[in-house]
Amino acid sequence: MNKILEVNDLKTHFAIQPENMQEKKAILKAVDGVSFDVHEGEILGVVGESGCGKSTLGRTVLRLEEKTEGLVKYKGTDIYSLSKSELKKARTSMQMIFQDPYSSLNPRKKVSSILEQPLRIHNVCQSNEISARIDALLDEIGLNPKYKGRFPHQFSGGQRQRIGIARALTLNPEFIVCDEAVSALDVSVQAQILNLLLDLQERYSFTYLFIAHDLSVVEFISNRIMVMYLGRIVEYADKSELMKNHLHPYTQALFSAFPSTDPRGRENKKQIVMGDVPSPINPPTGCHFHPRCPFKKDICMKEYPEMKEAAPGHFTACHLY
Amino acid sequence: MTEKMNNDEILLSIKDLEVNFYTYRGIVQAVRSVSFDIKKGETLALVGESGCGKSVTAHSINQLIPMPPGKIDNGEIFFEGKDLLKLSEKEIRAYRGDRISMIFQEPMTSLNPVFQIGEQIADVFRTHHGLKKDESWERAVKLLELVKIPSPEKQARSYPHQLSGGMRQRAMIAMALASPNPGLMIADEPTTALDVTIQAQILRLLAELKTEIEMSVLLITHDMGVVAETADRVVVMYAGRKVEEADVNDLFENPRHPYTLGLLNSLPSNEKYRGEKRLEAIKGQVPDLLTIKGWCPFENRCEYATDICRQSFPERTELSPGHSIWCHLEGKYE
Amino acid sequence: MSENIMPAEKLQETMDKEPGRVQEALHQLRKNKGAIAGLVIIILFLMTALLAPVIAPHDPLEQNISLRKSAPLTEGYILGADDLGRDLLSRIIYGGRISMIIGVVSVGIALVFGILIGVISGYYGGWLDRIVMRLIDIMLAFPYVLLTIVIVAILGPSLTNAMIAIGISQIPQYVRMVRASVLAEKEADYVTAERSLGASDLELMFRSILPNCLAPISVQATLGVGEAILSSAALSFLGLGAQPPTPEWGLMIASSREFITTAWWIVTFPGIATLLAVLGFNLFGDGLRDMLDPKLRD
Repeated sequence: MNKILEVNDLKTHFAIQPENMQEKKAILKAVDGVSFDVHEGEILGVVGESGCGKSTLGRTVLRLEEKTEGLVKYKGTDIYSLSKSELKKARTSMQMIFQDPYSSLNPRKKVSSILEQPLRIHNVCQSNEISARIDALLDEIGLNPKYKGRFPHQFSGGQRQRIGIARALTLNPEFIVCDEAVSALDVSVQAQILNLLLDLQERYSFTYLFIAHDLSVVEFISNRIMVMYLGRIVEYADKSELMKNHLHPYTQALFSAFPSTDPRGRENKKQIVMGDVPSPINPPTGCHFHPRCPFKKDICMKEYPEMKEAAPGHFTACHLY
Repeated sequence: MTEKMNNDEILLSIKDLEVNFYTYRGIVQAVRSVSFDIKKGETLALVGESGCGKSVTAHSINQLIPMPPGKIDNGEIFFEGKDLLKLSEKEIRAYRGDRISMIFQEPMTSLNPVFQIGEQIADVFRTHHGLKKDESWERAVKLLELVKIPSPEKQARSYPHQLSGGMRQRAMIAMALASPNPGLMIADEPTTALDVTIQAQILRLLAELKTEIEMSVLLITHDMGVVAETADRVVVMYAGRKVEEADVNDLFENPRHPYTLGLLNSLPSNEKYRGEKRLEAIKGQVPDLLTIKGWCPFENRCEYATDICRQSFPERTELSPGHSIWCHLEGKYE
Repeated sequence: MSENIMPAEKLQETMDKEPGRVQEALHQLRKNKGAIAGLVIIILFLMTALLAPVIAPHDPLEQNISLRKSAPLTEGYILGADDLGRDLLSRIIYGGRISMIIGVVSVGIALVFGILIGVISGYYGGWLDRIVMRLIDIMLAFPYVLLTIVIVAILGPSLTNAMIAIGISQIPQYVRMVRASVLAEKEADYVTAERSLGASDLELMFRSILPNCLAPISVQATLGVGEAILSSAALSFLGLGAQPPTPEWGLMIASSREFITTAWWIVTFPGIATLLAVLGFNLFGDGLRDMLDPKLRD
């Protein structure tokens, strides 16, 4: 398997302006030491709750957010060593699909000019071919090209998300970060978009980094799944392995908290993890999950656990293993 | 109209509700001929996608829809036998926040940011029940304890922004319970803004509270998982109308309206997709409520639609006691 | 229920013809009586300014000594004549032309520099932004009229310099407004998306972000025209703007104020003209603000 993306000990920290003069500048460690590879042609799911750093991770690997430390290699090249013009070229093959179909399209631009912009910037095709290319793109994502003269606000949420996908396809990318790409949509539309993403992946052998908070969506679409908590990966494995076997107590909590669609199942009381997600500005010492963990030991409060291969191909960062 | 059920048991009864929004683009037919009852101690879920009229229906109960442009054009809403739609603004205000309380998706918008949460809850006791200052504060702290906020005495003195999202939702619930005789709680997407682990905590809290206090809950949600976890009975809405009403087990095991079926099939968590590569999505999109035609609004997306579906709005078909659908096919399709 | 039934073809048509922004704006305008009144005044004002040579019954500079200070409605002099026997109506009409030019030119100067500085400052942020904002703060610390007077005093009194001075002293308000809008807009996902597609800083600033900031700017610019007309009248009144015999409203008021008891019309009519023009722009500007504020819409 070819690695399309290698991420090594990546950290993205933000300085938070203090609320008053006495306080020190706080550091928000959105991504704090994350290492993983993405293989060509796979769908790698990233799941976690708000504040776990999954969106920042997606932006940092595309260099849409500057890293603090660590290494991001795309097809063997460190994207943080690239000059501005080299980066512009490299970005043609790395794209992003955003969560909010309302803010991710420029409200003052017609659909045709939203799609035309990247074609023009990168001279993808002759100017007389642009219009045909836009029609083909809209056709591809299931929108009638006759509506290309409309503004984004004239479309429904699902249609806007399709336009966002069309925009990501303009430059023939290979690697696409889907940041909560279906979270803002109604279930029936969400299913359409998930199918579309899978169709496109099959046709063009895309690689997706699929970021979402909805476990069922990640579980459905991914080949491999990473679970994040407070800026770090706590567990990752192939989907089939992870579905059978939740090793990390946080993964267990996440799975048991997810509402099932079997109303008869609710009688057998499941274990619910208590407490709130701590702030990433001041995460707990040691293992970040220890204040909520039902199995915590002394060592959990002192040391952050190493990532270990607890079962073949199944990695977790937990002192229990 | 003859009532089959024992009237004592029914807390809230909505009959033939019709709500329109008059905009310059035309009349938005937000809610059409919606009727249902909520029994004492029952949790009824109103479920549907955005724009299906579930929130408008719920907000009609205590008349919190913006009027104008909204207008309740027809229907009756009986709460303990009294038609709320015939009450004056002053009389309805006595119900709001006392016998009929609401919790919202984002508690930050409904809690006052400049008052301590204990104070806000105590205020409800003072204004609605004329309690003294000390006593109402004591009651507020007790309520915070009831909704399992850790160290309630201390937390009662904190301001909304000092609490986490989950704690704020608990405080909001406590405020909704601030009545010696809570009747109906309308929960409008109460866990949509929360993380799953926190959502599980809040859903469990709501379930536990229901056994402790006799309270009815009208749950409004788009999330079928939340429905399965909490509801006793379910009303599915589409384009302003009821399409199916059933007991929660019936609905999930034997959905008979093509829309309900499509909705459940769209869920990626559906067991039948283990190992499958595609979801069974409903084609097309929700119709514009400005241009609802004179027949079944789901007709253009329904894979079973035939000519009769384009003739009139479907009438109610009772499949079994408590399980009804509004579909011309009357559940006979494969 | 029959009115709800709509044939399928007709339905498709209504979906194809969704109301555009223009229609929506017109609808909002129709509801706002003040804005309509403002717009009518502005259009009247513009028309007279454009057609001044056609409408004006006399040459505004032509003196007719025999008719000095003649009262309104005397032989073809509808509003009367001034102390030098010039037709007051014609002078007011030509004065409108000058006021219009002043309004447009000075707001134009303020807009160009305000937008340029505001967009760059907001987009890049950092030390550049901090320096720009401190300079703006210093400019705002001067009273508006004082600042204008200081600039005219440096440049020398003339109508052109008055326009430049008014333009410069209006720059800070545009810089602040544009910068604030840019700060909010640049965080939107569409900006990130376009950046990831290779759009340059210049393209992002002026083709993506700026069009989304124009709503508040257009309100400010409308109000700014009224403000500029008033300021220029004030400057001319003080002798720092237009010089005699130019038919400028402020100057007309200044040079005839001694006659207020003997020939009230010479000073009153230019005053009313100024008031109406400024009122028109203010009414329309306020209406525009309401129209563009989504919170006030239905």
